[in-house]
Amino acid sequence: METLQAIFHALPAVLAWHNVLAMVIGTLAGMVVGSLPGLTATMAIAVLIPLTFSMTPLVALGIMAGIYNGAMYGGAVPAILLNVPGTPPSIVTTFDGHPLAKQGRAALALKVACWSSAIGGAFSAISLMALAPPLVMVTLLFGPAEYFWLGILGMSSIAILLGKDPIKGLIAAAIGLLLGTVGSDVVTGQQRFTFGRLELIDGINLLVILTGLYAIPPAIRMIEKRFSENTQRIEIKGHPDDGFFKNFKFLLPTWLRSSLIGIGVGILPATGGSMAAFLAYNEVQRTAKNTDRFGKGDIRGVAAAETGNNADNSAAMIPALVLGVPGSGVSAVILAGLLVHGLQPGPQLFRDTPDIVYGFMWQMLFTSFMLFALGGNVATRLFAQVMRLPQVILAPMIMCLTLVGIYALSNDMFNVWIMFGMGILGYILSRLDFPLAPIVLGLVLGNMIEQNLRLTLLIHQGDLTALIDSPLSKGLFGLFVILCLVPIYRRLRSAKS
Amino acid sequence: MSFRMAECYAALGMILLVVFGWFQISDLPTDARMFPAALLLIIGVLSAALLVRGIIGKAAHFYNQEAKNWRFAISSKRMLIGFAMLALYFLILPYLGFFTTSFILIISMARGAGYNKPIPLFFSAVGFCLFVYTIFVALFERPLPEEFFITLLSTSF
Repeated sequence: METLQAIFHALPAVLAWHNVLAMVIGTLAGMVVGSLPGLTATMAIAVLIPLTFSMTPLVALGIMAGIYNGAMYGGAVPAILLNVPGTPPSIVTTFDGHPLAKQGRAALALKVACWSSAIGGAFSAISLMALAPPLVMVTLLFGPAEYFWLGILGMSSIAILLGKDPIKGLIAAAIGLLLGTVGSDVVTGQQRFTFGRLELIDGINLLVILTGLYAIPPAIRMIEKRFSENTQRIEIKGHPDDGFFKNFKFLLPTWLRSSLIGIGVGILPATGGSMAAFLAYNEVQRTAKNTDRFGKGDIRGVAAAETGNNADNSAAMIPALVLGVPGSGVSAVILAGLLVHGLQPGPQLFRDTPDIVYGFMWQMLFTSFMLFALGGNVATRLFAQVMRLPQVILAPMIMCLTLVGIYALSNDMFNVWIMFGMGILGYILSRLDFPLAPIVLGLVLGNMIEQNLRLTLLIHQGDLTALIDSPLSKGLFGLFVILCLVPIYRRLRSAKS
Repeated sequence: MSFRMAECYAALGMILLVVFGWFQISDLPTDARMFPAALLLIIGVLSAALLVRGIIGKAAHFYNQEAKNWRFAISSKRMLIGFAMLALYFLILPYLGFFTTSFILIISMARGAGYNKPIPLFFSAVGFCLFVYTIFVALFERPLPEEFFITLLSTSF
């Protein structure tokens, strides 16, 4: 009851005009970013966070929520119209979306994608409101050793399961943790990796690394592709049978099933929207009575993919808000945004700033509904034009925007040069197939892991067995061991097959 | 350069960084050194595994066809020019100011990548500068490097 009161107490602040405006701007910006192949929600949020410093947390989070939900839907526009997924999860949307467009039903496919994204996002936001508050009570059982294992578990699950290669994932995670150690040691005050530079005593700002890793490499990739005129004509014609209520009954089972799958997948670490979309699509295809049209232009295919990937959005924020352990790259970046605004995830976030945390949940819900209003016919026609925007003009603009955000951190060029270095590192690592999300996760979780490890050892006078003393820490350690065995199991299974 | 060779170079580079990092923390007290030392050790061991895997050709197990078609950059020349222009942008920015330098960067980078419609390009660059000025300078009062020409004009009169 108390939780319910707290949830509704946050509502008036969310509905203040400046917060609504922030959500609308964020959703529109997200749709534009998502509709441009090569730009991701993660990159858009990474570029944006430094720009939100002077804003109140709710305004900043409203923009982030809008970008997150908007980009996940925006990815469907080029997937349907051009067979080019705007974001990685919209690959599944191309299976049926593009065949529909080729049959002259692009308008219907786009509308189904819009409704499905909104419904998936709304279900996911409701699950966040329902599951996060009771789960946060569990964290009260956690001591330093448990928090240490939780950090290790969260980070290694992303590092091991996210990419193809667990070795590279683990190296990336360790690089992130190492970057987090730059600056003064909190216990002894000793300077680590500062090279005598005063600017590094407080460590490298998380935003500098985030922007460098996520914004510069894709901008450089855009410049590498020589400009070519996009002459593809895009026809979007409506049909009397394309209405929401005419398709509601037919699509409802797909929406419900895919929403549940998306939420389940979202809560699990290192899965993400792509897996949610794939699983939802497979499940709908498996349970459908008539499967002939799948892959040739079935609206249930578009509905499953889009509901699945948007239902993952808020659900992925559950472990991030409750435990401070993000379940995906984009939730890690949003978590970084929370940290930048002085909001520490965990029980204290729910206790000290309930209006902000529940406000963010409302914003995830409202921005999902906004997709209905903003993603209609007019918007999709507009985004179809946005897709024609030459990437060679967009790339330098992204680079200039990164500077606007990073320069203002300290009013000098030092951070800008570190961002440039991070951009080079990000480019090299991404080309060599190193996942970047574990680096961000290492940065976000590094402090928590190191502090809790040292605190445990300090309390137990250096006794390492104290790390697996309690049943809870034993359980978390056991999960970590199982996780480490996953690549070996995968290897054995693939060798067998 | 093949994917396998690139992996080997990356692993070697990381091992060198680990050695450098190890020397950097060697003077720290044990307590402060413990965590970064453990991380350096992990990076070192995993990089050595990556190197060995690259030398014996085991990486192909993970990448198969992808490794065969792999290229470090779509165009190495344009990638290097892109990074060089960005570095140059950051270098001259404190002297010329944000808007002048950004205008030059947008025009020159797009032209360099083959975009040859001067009028839309000019208006895109001007539109971007106006957008940044309105939103970030006028509305949010973000500090940006001062414009050389404006400073020059204001000191002249």
